[in-house]
Amino acid sequence: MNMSGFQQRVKQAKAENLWLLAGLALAFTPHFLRLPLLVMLPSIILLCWRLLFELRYLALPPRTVRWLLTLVGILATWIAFGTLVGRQAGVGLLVIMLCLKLMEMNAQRDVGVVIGLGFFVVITVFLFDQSIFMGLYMLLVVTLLVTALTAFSRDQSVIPQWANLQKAGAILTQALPLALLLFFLFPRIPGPLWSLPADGTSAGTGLSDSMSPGSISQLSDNDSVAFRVQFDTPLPLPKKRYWRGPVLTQFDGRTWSNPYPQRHAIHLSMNSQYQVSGTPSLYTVTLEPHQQRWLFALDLPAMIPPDSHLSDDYEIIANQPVRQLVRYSMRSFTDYRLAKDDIPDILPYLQLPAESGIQARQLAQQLRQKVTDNAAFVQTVLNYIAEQPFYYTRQPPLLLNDPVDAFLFNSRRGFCEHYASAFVFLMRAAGVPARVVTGYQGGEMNPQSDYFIVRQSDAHAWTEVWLRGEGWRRIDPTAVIPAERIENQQDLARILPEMAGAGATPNWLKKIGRQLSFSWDRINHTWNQWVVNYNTQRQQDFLSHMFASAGFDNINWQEMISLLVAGMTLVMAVVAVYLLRPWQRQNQDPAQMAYERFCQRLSRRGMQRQPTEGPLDFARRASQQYPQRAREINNITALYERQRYAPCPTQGNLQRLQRAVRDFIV
Amino acid sequence: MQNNESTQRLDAIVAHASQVVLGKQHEIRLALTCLLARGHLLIEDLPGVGKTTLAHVLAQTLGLQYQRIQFTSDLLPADILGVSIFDKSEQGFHFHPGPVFAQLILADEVNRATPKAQSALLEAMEEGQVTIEGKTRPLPDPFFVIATQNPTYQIGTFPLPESQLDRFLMRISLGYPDAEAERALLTGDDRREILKQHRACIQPGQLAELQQAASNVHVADALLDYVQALLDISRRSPQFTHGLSPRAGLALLRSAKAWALMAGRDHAMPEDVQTVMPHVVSHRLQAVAESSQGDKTLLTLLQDVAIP
Repeated sequence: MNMSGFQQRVKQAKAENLWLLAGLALAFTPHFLRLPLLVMLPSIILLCWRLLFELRYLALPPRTVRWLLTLVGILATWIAFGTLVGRQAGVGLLVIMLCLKLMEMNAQRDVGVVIGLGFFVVITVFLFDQSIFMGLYMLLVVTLLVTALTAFSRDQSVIPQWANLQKAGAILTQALPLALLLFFLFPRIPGPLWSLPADGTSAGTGLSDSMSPGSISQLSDNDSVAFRVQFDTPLPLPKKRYWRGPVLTQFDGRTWSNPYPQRHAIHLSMNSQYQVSGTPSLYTVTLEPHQQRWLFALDLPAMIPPDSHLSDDYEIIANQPVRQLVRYSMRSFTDYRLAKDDIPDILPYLQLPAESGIQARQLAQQLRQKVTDNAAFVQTVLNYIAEQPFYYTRQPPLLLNDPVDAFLFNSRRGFCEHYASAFVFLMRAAGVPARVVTGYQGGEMNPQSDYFIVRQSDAHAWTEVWLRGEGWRRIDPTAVIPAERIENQQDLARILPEMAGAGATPNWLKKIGRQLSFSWDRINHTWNQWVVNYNTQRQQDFLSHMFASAGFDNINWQEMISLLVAGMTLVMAVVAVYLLRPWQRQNQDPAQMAYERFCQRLSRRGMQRQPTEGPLDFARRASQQYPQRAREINNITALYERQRYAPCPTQGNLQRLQRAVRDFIV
Repeated sequence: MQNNESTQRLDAIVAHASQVVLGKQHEIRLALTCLLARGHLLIEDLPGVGKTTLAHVLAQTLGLQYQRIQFTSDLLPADILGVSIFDKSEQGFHFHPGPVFAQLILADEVNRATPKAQSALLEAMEEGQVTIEGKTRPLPDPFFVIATQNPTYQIGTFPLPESQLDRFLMRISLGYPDAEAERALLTGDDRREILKQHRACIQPGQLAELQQAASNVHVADALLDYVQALLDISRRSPQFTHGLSPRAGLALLRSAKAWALMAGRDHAMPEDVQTVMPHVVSHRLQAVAESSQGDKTLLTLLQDVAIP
């Protein structure tokens, strides 16, 4: 009985408002998961309040309370964010104010306003998340809002609700061609439309500008994609797949960092500084946003993408932090040799913290004395790591004070950052310039497509040692650890690619899981390529490709606009032709045409004949409006009636009608 | 003009009947239209608004033989059709015709009887003849049934199924009289007395002429286009469970023609269709939305179709 009462209430509630509330609730949900409780909770309460009002359980608050609630809403936003502007705070304010608007949504006009703002909320969601899921989800929200709009504009008592949903679906489907035209042809503006302020809270996953024990191993379980690469040339050998990222030179005993994050750009002139051999790898990187400025490339980059520069340490640094998906083409030589013999400033690469690693320094001295040159010393240290019982593990023991000594002489269990750190320390202690390089190593081919996936779990740290006559040489100390001392099978496959497959073959469930994950990644990649990252360049490429036969090889924005207008006109023309159906007008009754002329003349005077209004009714109404013309109006109507509806219409009668209409001038 | 003559005669009938049923000229015209179109009429309204009086006065005015059948839950088909009784003097069965053998039958509160009794009448309506004990007996001509029914929300009713509702050309309701008519009703003489003195205003046989004139009303192609568009939209509209049948289309056209004759035209106009449409189709369409008013739904149907 209670239930039927509730159903009754649902049935009697205004349908457009229920659709609207459902749409808003779903549109808010992604924001709710992101916004602080202080903003989220009042919004949810207000939303529920409105729902209870629609079901006639609760009244809406009076004006004074609404004012108070508005103040509380602004205050809550202010407290939660410390500001009212910016991406997060702005969205918070929008959500809470929209919910407050629900408290005074009385007139039809208000409903229209709220539906419009609902669409705006949908846009704001994409400021945070542009994934394919969110796109589909928002499509659902938009469908609900359009349903609210159709319910809003139709007589509710006679339309079943599924018909509204159906109508909304039809409207959206009809809008699809125009949406596609606008999407592909509307000129893209280079760079983001507006720069989104960094809110601090939006830290991306990925490498950071410093490295301390544990900072890379925390990424080892993170399977999210760091970037995807499409190779135009054959894949480089596994042992050459080092994706170079931040270079760290300064060590404080625990943490490696870069003392000059904004170092001046060096001018990239390929031949003077290093010698390359072999053919370059050509590839395109699609980098997921990581909120930092590094762009990753294979060693050694032979070009730099636009809007970026190369640092002294051969890092590619973008002019702006990577806050959205970027795509850049690269050329790298995996076989290279630095030709320059001396480095401008050797001191930063020999820096060591004053009071740490006493034992390590002694070890370095000892080992150095045994050999004659630095290159031999490097090999000695590598041999030392290989021979001593060093283990590669994902769960290294926590090293508190003096991590270098503790690692080298006590625990001897570590992740790549421990090895890189210790190795560079030993080099520097013996007077060999060295630095830590972080980045990604390896990656895997998506077997279902033609691109390469590099994940966060591929994050790696290695080193570079400067040798006279040779320049910087890449040394990966973790690579010398024998397979039996690597604890994790996955790590084994990554560190020693030639050993991959030696472990147990994965069972079929895992195989299917991997297949699915590759399929999903391919879909994501396509989405990124065609939707999220459809930027100026890609638009150019796509349109040039499409219209190559028409003689466009480089389309400028004016031509795009022209194409857009032409396309829209075409779509509209098709719709117009369908609606007007001129081929059906050909056999139209001349009496009808004359009468329509007559109606047109009256409608110019504001006397509009409704399409459902019969000629007699219209004549009656028109004569009331223009009593002085009543005789003419009735005459024309009578002639028309006789010609169109009466038996035996005559040619003479038709001519009289046409003459009467011609003489009828309002 | 023949048509003018018919129209004058019809106007006289309406005026004559309006003396008894006060303030219901439009409904009288609709009832007469139904009769001219050789259809049967269903009046749905509350008790006491003059349904019976309307039926009676129509019979009187048109000079038709009148029979009234009060439908009750224990009414049997034999009570309507008649029964054969053994006659001792003639040593054989003698048929005693039931009340159905009359020209104008008022089936009062038809939805109070069981479906069995209802169907006895409804079959007579459809066939124009009844078969009793294996012998087919023709019904008089004209044969016109006015059935009244209480709104279905009143208890103790057997609602007519859709297929049987379809046998009625039109469904009308009378509604309360306006203040002026009500005052005249309250101050005037007893309706029964007036009815007794009421005389027919047409000769026998003239009704058939009028019916013939109604069926001779011209229907232009343009009007057929309009009727077809209306039928089409009723079939495509999401508001109804199913669309209008071809029979409903024929009914609509017949009614529009009769209405045109009443209005003094020899051809039907879109306005005629619009006027009769709600009464012709409202009992043949089932709205999907439960709470909706049938008439309001129909109005949107009319509003959705432009006159071609």
